[in-house]
Amino acid sequence: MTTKVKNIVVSVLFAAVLAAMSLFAWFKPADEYSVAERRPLDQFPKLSADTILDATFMNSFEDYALDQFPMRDAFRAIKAFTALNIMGQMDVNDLYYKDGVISKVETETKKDQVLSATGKFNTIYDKYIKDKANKVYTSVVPDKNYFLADKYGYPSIDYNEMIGLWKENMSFGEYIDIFSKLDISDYYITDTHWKQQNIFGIAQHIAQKMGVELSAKYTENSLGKIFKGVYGYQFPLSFEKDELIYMTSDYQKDLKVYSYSTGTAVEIPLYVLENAQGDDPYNMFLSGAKVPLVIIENPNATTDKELVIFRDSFGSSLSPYFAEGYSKVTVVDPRTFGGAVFKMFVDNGTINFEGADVLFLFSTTLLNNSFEVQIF
Amino acid sequence: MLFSSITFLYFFLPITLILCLALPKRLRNGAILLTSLIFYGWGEPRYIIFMVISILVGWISGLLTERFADKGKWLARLPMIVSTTVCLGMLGYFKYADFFIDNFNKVTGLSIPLLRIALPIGISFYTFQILSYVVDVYRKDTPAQKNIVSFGAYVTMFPQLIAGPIVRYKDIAIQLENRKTTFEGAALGIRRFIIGLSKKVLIANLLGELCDIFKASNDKSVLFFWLYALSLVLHIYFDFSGYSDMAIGIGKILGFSFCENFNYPVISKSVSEWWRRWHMSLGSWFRDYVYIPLGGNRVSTGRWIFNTLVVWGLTGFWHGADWNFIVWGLYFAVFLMLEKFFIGKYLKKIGALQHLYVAIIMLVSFVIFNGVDMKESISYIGAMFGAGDYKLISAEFIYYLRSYGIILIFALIGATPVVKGAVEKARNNKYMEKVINILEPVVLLVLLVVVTAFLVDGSFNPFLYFRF
Repeated sequence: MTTKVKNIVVSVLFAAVLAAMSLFAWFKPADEYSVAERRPLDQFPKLSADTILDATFMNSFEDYALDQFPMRDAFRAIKAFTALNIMGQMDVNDLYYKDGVISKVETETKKDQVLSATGKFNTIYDKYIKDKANKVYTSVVPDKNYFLADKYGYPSIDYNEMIGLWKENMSFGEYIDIFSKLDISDYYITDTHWKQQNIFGIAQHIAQKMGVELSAKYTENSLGKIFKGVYGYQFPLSFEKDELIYMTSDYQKDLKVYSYSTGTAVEIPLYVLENAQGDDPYNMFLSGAKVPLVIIENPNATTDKELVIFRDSFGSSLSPYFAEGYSKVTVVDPRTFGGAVFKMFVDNGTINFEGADVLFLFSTTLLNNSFEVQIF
Repeated sequence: MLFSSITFLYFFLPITLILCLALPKRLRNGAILLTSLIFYGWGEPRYIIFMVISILVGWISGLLTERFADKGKWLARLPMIVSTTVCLGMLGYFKYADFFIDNFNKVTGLSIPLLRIALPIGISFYTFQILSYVVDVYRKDTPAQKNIVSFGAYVTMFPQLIAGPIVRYKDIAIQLENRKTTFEGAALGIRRFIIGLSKKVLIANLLGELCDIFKASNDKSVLFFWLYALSLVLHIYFDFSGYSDMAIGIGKILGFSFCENFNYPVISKSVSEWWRRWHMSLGSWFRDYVYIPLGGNRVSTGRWIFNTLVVWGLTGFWHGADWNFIVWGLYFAVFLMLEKFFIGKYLKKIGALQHLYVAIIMLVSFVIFNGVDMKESISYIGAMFGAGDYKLISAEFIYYLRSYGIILIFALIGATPVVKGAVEKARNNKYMEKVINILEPVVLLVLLVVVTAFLVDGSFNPFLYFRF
């Protein structure tokens, strides 16, 4: 190719790419929602003299142009491929893929966040639980980095430090270690969470420490569709597939499950299958993060003991197992609970600590980002 | 509006290129003026009025300066003094008022409220362009521009409006009236633009990200401070030179030849050489409009030292209204004086160590430049040299060195003329020239796609709750 021809090719190619992408961007119908980001996408902003003069049109247009850019996911995949394979970066937007699993980098133990969480739990203990509960237990669920970070040279939470802080500041409860009973295969490839079918042993271990034996036989049930977890959407080079499985047993047929999302009890199924059709199928377990309070009653439980669990979404898939041994399992999600509402439920007896076992079960991810904890 | 944005690349630029290239020649300066005002007003439309005032003042002053040229020294100087006062007055008000109020309060113990005015984008650049124009007309280096549209197009020209290079009117006066747009110019411009865009998005932004990570880290170590300093110098170099490349490239597409602004400063063997290669349009501006009028170097040693301190103090102050910028400028003045009087002759004898000497001075200088204040800068520099309670190495340092190591290597190679030299050498071979001609469009297309991918990914903003 002569230089003269090359100059024409470069000019025409550049003009063509600019023109094509520009036309595509102008005329592509706007998308409403991004499942990957769990947020509505910006729409074409209001155009008026006021919005131009105060520059809100321009600022909003920049956001709109990015949100609605054609082939956005394909471009994100190109970026991820380039960053990982050509530029040698260790992660893409803090996500990495090792041992066939996607995980998220957490660079350090955020001591202030852990102490903020334990401070809030201490307030709950002092105000409502002390002198009422039978016994209090605590446990922490490791994130995937616990199994991957050291092996592949990624920074991570200092788990010893975090558990040390947890034990020291949650001294009102007996700590139950579950780190040693898990491995990376217990977690979904594309999601943060553990698999319900893999954690019956964890439930047995915790229950045993609380003086209750769990021995029911369970059947695996598949939703019959691919489960793409939150990391699966966020990591654009994810081609892995998961299958969401939930566990059922004969005794569960007699369970009564009540949700208190509005203040009054609404009976719901143990597994809300319609939630499995939404953006976050993991919400099928006790309605996931959507409901602050769920109560499971089992008239045929092996004991008449009651259990109150403070939990994040890891607890939503574990809690159903405890219904075998406890006549009443009260599941509290402090991420979505305002202090006044919590007090109301305690005052009216819906949440009852009298003689109950109490379990605080949270993931390292939540403890390291405890701004999510709402109560008090 | 930033060059490195989707809005610029795929919304503004296509329309602008059509208008500025397809319209009849007599309308093209008008198109440049119009699109440049939209470009400028995109972020803060109210500030267009100050730009228009500056243009009118500069244009009228140029005409009056020329008219009064033979009417006596002071009458000829009057329009220049008025325009300088108005333009520097606006620059002083927007950029430096709070600096002076803050320092006045500190000295007097008063508490005069700060103005807290947003800085109009590019005001430092277009103010200097207008000043140089009026002075050049006064010096009879160039005739005054009679056409307000052409003059407005010169001042507002969007490629170089917000980050330079500081283009002198006399350098593009002929092109404003009569410029040619050719495939050769367009291809050169496109290549320069895409390379500049890639420097900005693929290197500068990522190294800027590393600098932010360092600042937020609670796992700092001595080597992490050095990694930060290296990343910072390369970040600023690739950011700034990338913008200059984009400006020069778009200028070329439109038929203009802007001056070069960077010439591989990292290969410098002395501080004085660095400044002949770094932000050349600013350096030459201060040389021609401040240093030489003060007497330059044809003066006594004492006066030369004074001139040098003034020029470098102002150079630092031009970059930002804070003490660390002034100290940054004076820091270079000190090394320039040391090189002139003491160490210059020894530098030539130490061979490759000259690069190490320049590297250490520059790493330290940009830590001063980028500090939130002098206190932070001093603590960072101290930490680099072991003064601070930091371990030598930390886990985060190792991780981020691994994660950004290849980018740093790309950056270090790209900051030298190695690649450019190799391509030019290969072009001497006819066979290789053909190969390069085939590869060039492919490489440019791939770079454009990858840059677009990085820009698009920047908008990915997942709702954090779903991590748990």
